[in-house]
Amino acid sequence: MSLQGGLYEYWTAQSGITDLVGTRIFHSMISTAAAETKPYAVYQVISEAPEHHMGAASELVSKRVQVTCYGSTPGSAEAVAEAFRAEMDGYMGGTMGSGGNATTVRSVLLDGGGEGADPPNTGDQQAIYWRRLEYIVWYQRSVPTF
Amino acid sequence: MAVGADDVGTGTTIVFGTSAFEAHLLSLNGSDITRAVVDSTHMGTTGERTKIFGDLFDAGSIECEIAFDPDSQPPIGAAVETITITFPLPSGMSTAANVAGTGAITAWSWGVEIEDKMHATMTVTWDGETGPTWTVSAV
Repeated sequence: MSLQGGLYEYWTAQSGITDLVGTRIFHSMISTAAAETKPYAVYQVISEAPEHHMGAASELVSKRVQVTCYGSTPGSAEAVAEAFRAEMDGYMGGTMGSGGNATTVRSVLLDGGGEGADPPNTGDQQAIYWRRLEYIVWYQRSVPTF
Repeated sequence: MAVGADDVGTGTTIVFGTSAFEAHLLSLNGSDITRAVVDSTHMGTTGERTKIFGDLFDAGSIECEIAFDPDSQPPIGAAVETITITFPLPSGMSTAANVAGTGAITAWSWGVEIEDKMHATMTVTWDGETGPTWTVSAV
């Protein structure tokens, strides 16, 4: 089970998101060539807070997932971010992904964000605008046994 | 009895059967659920003090934190009604656990601060006439 894989499958099944970025949703990084086509999104887990009880690890865990939406204009980046927000904030009680990526997601809450722009590195490049979203995703996973 | 998976509280609801009061819930805390403890220690007791327990218990109350809507105050003067709290639906189940019984709102307070979300708290007290009865989640 992979939360990241489940999220990717979920996002790429939502037309509100794919209408804007297609499947240009990348885990952790993006190649220079792929970044030529905008808009797109990059996601990563930036922290994890597992739960435990006296007997073992809990099934329940929360991860802070960051989704950064990039566009060639501020409005483009904002539109993608709004699409992710519409499909994520307040989600509860479902399975994201299938097969090995199937993840029992209990709750998704938008917990922060920001925006900015990266200036061009050379004269023939354009600035890129971004909008960052941070979600707390609560989900259940298998418990290690010994 | 098998222990279910740990879960978050997001998705929990409280429904007032007659007044139909609704609010955006932020938290629920059941409190003051008690059973009488009577000290049965006497002059001949040795070692630890002894206790006996009452046959009846107090179902207590529920402290609810809600977003405050000035257009919709908790109906503190309402008649006793059926109140149902439904917990999040566990994965793989078709019906969620709930607790239901008769009671009423017996206290509430509200707070409005500069640059902060308006909030309120209310206390729901079970009257003990009907329930509260716990129903487990089911497949």
